[in-house]
Amino acid sequence: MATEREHDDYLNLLADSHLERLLESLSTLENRLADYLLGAPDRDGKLFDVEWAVSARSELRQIIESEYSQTVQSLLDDYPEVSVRALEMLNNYGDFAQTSPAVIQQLQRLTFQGFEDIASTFLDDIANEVYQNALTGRSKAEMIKSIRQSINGVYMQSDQAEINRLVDIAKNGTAAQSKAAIEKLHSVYAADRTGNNMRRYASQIAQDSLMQFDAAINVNAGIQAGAEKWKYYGDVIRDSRPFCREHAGNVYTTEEIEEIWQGSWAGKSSSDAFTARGGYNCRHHWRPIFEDDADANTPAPRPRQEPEPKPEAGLPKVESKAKTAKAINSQLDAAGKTTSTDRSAAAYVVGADGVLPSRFRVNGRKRGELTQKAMERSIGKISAGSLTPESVAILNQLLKETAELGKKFKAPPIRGVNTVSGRRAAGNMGDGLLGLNQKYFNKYSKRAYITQEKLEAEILAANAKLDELRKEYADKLASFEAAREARDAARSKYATTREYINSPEYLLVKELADEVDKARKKANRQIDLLSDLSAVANPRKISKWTVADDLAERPHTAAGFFESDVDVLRNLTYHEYAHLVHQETWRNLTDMGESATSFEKFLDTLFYKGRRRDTDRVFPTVYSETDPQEWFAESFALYNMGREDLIDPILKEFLDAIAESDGAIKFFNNWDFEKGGPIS
Amino acid sequence: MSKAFDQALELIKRRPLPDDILDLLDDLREEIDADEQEDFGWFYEGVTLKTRLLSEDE
Repeated sequence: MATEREHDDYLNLLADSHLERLLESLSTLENRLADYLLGAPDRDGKLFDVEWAVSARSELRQIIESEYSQTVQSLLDDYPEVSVRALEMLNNYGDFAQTSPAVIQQLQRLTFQGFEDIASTFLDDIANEVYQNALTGRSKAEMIKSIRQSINGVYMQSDQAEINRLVDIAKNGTAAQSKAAIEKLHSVYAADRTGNNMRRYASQIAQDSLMQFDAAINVNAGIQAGAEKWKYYGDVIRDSRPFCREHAGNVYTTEEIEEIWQGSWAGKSSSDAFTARGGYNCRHHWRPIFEDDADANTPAPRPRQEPEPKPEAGLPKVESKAKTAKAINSQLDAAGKTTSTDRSAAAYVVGADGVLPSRFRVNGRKRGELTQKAMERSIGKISAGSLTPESVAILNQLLKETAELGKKFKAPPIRGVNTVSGRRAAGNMGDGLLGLNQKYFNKYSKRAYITQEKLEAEILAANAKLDELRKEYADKLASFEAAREARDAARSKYATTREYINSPEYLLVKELADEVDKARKKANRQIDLLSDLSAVANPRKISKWTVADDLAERPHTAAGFFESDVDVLRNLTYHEYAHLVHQETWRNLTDMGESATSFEKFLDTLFYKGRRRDTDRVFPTVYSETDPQEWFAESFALYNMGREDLIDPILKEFLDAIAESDGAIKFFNNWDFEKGGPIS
Repeated sequence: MSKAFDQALELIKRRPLPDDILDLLDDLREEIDADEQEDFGWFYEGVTLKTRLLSEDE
């Protein structure tokens, strides 16, 4: 009889085989769809026939059903064998009863529905695209390319030999060759949105369905036998989640499992521990354990890491966002008036005519607004966006701290704050205006204030809400499907396409499609929220790296040296303030472009040796190697957060010298800061 | 560290930065591991310090 190890190997091989068959089928599907669409009527390569486009839907559906759905059914035909083998494995350790064939059939039906939902979504997308392309007269070749991508993403077939060769390597090469080929394909299709394709979703469901089916059989047999203890087993490989690494090989009671699985971790798919296990693509399993099982004497599970006590000590009091924003505005307003025509002053340089120079584009600049006007509008206030009250409370304190740093390093205080959205920049700085990534800031301020208990309750509630929204989505989808069937059946009632597309059946489908879309978006927003909460719950790794250690052990940024969540935000704010220091110290009205200020030119002389980075310098974080200004900013934050030991000696000496100088530093290391060049 | 993350790190060290650096980063971001997202955000921090610079005629 098979051991758990042998059963694990069997499942992994079967999962790989299912994936291979499914991908083969998707390749064929892509080619069949492309062949069919090649026959679309065109004029000079452009689509035009709307009526043909409407009628294409049923043919597209037939192709998908005959190719994809049949393959899916053949995969599901393997499931009964999985249940037999699972029972054989279990009986190696005890006496378990076979799961009833009705339950197995029901599980197969549910799995098939999951695959069908994907097919249905992509059929809609493809049919809509064909219709819209005919309406807008898009090129047929472009449409076929786009539809190929919607099936297989970067793995799509092509008429270019080189691309097909890369696709072949991506599918069949070694791991390294495959990864290199995928990167190359992404560069070929750089402008295309190739991430959300049928292959991606179907691949995941192929793997997860099989493992969830096996889990359901095992757990059902265990419950029938009265099991109260369970072993979490399966190989720990390089890609295993930290969560699975921590728990693999351990034996837990049902209550312990329920408690542990209420936590949150990257990749978690559901709180149902027995079905979802470690989450998406997890290859770990449960096996019931009884007292006479040798594994019942497995050493006690490793204790869970105790969360650090929350909230952190010394946090600023949280008041209403409006009240704190008002206090911040008062600080920023004063900072905005810190101007001088004297370049050596710890102030923003201003022309004799009172005009402030601008060097950077402003975050949130309105369309058509002059740069100068956008900058002036941003000075003296905070645009808090969706920063939370906790975030603005911490920010208020950090702005006061950077104002103190300004006095020490002879630089003006931050004079405006806005939030950065869109691209995921952690923050930015330009012309004295601080840009903050609100997601990043909200995450760490939440971590600083929230208790573990409250966080767990929030995650639980968010999971419940997600289940509700998923159900709502499934219900809407079912109504939509029914309406679509009715519409297709009614097609012959209408003599012309115009009548048909204005018919109540057609319009109802359109309306329901919108509702499905809204329900899907709502569920996706909830997934994002849950993902944010999971991120808040994930423990951080704190680096113990010292200058004498291996460079590979360094953290990515200086935040990695600090345990406190407020220190993560302090690091970000000090880092950005360092950029203000090199941008504003001894600034000329005419300084424009990269490495423009005297201070920045000086940093270049320290960072580079010839044309390359001077590797004899100390680079305390991976990010500090980027360029002279990031090296300075990372080091500046460490210096001012009590970790002078981690920065390059010359930078420490330089920062000491600025702090000790009366007024702006004039000379250091053979550099004349006023002149902006070597001392002559 | 994923290969895409490594590539992005090398990319942002280039001088001059490629004109389409933000698009290149966006593409690489789709390839990185989920736990690298936050660190990856810092690449945009450094890059936008350069891409937000105004030209003389703006």
